[in-house]
Amino acid sequence: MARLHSLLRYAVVLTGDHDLAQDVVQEVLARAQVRWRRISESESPEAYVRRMVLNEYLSWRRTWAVRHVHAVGERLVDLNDARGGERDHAQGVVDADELWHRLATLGRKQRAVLVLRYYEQMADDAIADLLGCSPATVRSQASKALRTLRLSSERQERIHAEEKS
Amino acid sequence: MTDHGEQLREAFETHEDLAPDPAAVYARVQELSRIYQRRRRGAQVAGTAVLGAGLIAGVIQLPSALARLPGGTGTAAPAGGPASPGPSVAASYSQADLEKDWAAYFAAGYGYDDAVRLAALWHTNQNIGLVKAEAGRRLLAGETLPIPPQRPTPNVYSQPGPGASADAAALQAFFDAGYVWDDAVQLAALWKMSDPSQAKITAGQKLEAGQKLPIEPKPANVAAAKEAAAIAKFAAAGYTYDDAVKLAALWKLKDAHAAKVAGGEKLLAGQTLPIKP
Repeated sequence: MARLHSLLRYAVVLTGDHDLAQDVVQEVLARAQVRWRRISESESPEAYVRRMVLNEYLSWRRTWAVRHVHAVGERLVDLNDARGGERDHAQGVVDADELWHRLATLGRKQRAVLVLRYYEQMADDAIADLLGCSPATVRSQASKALRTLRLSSERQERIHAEEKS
Repeated sequence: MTDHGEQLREAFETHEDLAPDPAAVYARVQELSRIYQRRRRGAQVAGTAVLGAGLIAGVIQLPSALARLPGGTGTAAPAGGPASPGPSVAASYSQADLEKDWAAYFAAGYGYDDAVRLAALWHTNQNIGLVKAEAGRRLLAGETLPIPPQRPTPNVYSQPGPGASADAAALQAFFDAGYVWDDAVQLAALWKMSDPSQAKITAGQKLEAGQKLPIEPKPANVAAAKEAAAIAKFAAAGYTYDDAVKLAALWKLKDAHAAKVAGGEKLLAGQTLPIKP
């Protein structure tokens, strides 16, 4: 039980979308059933299935991100920008819910990097291995994502400097 | 972890409970896998099918998984009411009610897609799990749903067919005895095996050989396995929900579900039922 819940939670965090998470996990588990014998021979079948979920998400055929998620996320981001003066930047606190919606503005790979790094708590080398890219690319993607989310230290430093001046 | 790392982790963890309804995932996986299996022509299909079902049963532990709805905490959390007149699917269900209603829903052959269609017909945007529960409640009350099931939902507890592999039979023995994934994890640790899935097969083989395992299954899981086996036997014998309703009346049982369980137990014991399927 814990494993399916864990897989579904992972998929939700990864996709940021309840319906897409469901579609991705369903698709993956259905395929895993068919070739379970081979999967069960892997070192860690659970890790194998999680990797399948990640790959499925990264290659998902739907245009959901453009059609739905980005639209919602961008609207929220715009809203926050519009009320920018009201936010207390000095504390650097971003409400978890707001941040969740901001995450929807990221590209899939950037989001995946953040999920793997901060939710799965994987090292950049392991993430690179999983995504089939170099650790430098992982760091680059993470850096871009953090800048988009306005969580980068560069921005925090700049804000901090502006407030001090 | 860095400050932004903490913020991200918090954002992820506070939203992970938006996870989909496990029962919906389960039902759809069964449907999809059948499609894929049909596409995949191979000699191992029969064995794989049951093995796959074992995987899903082991991973999902359906009855327990059903207890947790997306965003819920063990029982169905009432949400907003239906958008327009329709059944109230936000009733104060207890966990036992939910499981009973879901069992009736699935036993009648309905699946996830049916629940989506029902939600549309009832003009509700409720959690699909609650829609299924409401549908199951209505079935138990003897009502007919506005749509027939699209396709029967396969029962993962059904006995393996003659073409099933020895591994699949062992897995079935493991689950039929009331053992679950967590037990397999413990057994794997005890036997110093790296893969709990393999521990399940080994355990099943021991059970088939009449041996005892070093750990006992949880009584609740044993009861659930016995009940599932009885229901599967009832269905495998060709009996339907309508038959269960008749039997419930004959035996003065509280509902069709109880009749299915009682009927299945009798069939497993080699007895016959007072009505023919």
